[in-house]
Amino acid sequence: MTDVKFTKPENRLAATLRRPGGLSPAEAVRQASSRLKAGKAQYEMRMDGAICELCKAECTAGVSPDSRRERLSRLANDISELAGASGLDGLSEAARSLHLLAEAAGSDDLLDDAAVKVHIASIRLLREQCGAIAREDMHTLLSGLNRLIDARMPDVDLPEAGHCSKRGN
Amino acid sequence: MSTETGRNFNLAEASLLLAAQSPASLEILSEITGGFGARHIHTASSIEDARRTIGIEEQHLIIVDGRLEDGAGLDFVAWLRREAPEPNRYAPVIFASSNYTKESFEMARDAGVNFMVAKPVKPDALLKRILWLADNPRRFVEAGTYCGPDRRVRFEGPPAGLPGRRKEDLPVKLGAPAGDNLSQDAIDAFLKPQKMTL
Repeated sequence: MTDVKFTKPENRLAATLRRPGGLSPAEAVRQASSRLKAGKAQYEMRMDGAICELCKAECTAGVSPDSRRERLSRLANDISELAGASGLDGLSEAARSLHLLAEAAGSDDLLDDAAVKVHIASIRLLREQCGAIAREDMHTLLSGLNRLIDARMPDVDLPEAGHCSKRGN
Repeated sequence: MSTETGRNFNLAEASLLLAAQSPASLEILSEITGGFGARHIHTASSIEDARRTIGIEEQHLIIVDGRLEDGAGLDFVAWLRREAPEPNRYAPVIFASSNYTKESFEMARDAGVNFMVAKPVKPDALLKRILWLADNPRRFVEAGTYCGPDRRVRFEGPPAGLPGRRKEDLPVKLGAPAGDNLSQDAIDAFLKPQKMTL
């Protein structure tokens, strides 16, 4: 029988949070959101750079499948993070979908090139149409990406397509 | 300490470790936690960096991304729970992941993560989890195959003041009675010990 030891560690996080002063949760969320908003222009510039790099990565020849997959995954992750911080939720979701696709390919597998191309085209479209894309179109596009991911990873729980467009893109 | 109750919290003296491969992820997490009032923020882009920081300073909260330069974020968490010096091995860990599959949740839980947050991380979602962690400490379990916070979390409804996200969660405010009150006899019938014949 396995020995199991239970301990009740001191809740140091609670102790420090309960110190006098500090912020109300609403104020804290407001401050954090303002800081993200202040960095929006810079995040978008970096995101555009990453999108350009993503397009180049797709066309680069003579690179091992593993390093190509790794590069796509890293760039897609960055685009998703930067778009999310800039309030471009639809774009963030499309990039997250590409990140998952690259991660799902695994080190010993090959990327589904057609799916990668569709993802990159969608990311570019969402960026170019920034703010102008209709909610229904966004829904259709994200649903399509969702289906591509479903084929690879049936268990993935992507947010309902179109959900992001409510918050604007 | 829920986000709705408005009670103040103070992160100014807390030490936070943020670990992620991507500079963008680290920067965004730093901005968010800085906005929450945190001043002692350490960042690490690799497992090696993160281990070094853990060895130097006591951390109150650790936020780990799925990917670090030299391995998976969960490998760092597994090391933290088994081998890190006290009290850091007990530090609450929030795992930021792009992958919301059941399998991914189970892997994170089994590595010793306290909570998972979906990427891209949003300030309100992260703060809710930090405050929930402070209000709901868990025992630490050390067993042959697992080291980390007790995974058997008894569900006692959503945290106080929060509406809950499950279908079966009752609303915070009770509505009007759905029927007549029970009679005293009916109440007694629920409580009265009954003889049992074998």
